Amino acid sequence: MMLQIFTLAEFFAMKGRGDYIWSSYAIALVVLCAMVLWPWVQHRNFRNTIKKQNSRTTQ
Amino acid sequence: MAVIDTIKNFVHAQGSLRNLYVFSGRLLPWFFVVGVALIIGACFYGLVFAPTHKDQGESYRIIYVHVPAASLSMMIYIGMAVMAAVWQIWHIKTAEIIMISCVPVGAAMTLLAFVTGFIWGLPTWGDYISLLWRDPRMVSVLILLFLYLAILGLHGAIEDRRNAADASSILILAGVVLIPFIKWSVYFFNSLHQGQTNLFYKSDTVPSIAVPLVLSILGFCFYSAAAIILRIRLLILRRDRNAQWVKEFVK
Repeated sequence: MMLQIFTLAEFFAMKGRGDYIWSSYAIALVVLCAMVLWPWVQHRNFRNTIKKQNSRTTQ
Repeated sequence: MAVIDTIKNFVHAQGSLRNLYVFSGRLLPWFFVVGVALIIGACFYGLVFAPTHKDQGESYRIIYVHVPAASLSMMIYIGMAVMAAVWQIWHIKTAEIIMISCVPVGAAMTLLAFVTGFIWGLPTWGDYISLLWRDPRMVSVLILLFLYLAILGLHGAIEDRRNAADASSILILAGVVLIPFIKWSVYFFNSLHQGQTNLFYKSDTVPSIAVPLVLSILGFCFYSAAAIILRIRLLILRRDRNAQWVKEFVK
């Protein structure tokens, strides 16, 4: 295993291919986060709605 | 016989929505943590330590998100088709819930594979027209994305849950024909896309490029499973919101 970079600037530039590489990784990050966050938020909101309904019926 | 009985009992237990909700809730944190750790580790290894490719230079590093997403787009579809067949044969409602929960995750993976493939193609092939319309792999992946969206639309458009599941499962089963076509399109047609790379048995890929790729594919598998589980749990809560167990569970 050998380190392929020497400076941070070189690492981000990726020998002129940085735009393509980093844009791919940024899109991947957005898609992966949305895949989990969207249903998680909906699940949490739905649980809260059921909780509120439950407390109303018990009152 | 004891093993078969255990499997039978497990399958019957998972047939109940309550048990599926509880069991999937136990799996979720493990799948999520393992998936995130593997993806971060593999991408870090691939970006920092993997050597420069002899033909493509640095742009090949997109492989660590493109190949896992493309593999998952097809794997999820196959899993979905198995669940569609189970629904058609036995009408098990958990199969229908798993099938529908897979659709948005599969669509997201297909979109990611298509977009990253397009971006990777720009410096490698250098021609927008070829990228979109002349490459059979790109076109077939785009058709798979439309198929996922069509399944999602069809399921949402029909009000009766049983009819919606029937119609979408038939569409899913009909669409299975696309999977081998995507897989072998590079051999059937004159394609810009490279053929299949054997990671383990040939000297096509040096180990330090292949190892993070395998880890990344594994990470994407766990992460997608976590995303599917989240959708399964959401769908179960929506379906069973008036059930007593949900009220007790949510307290």
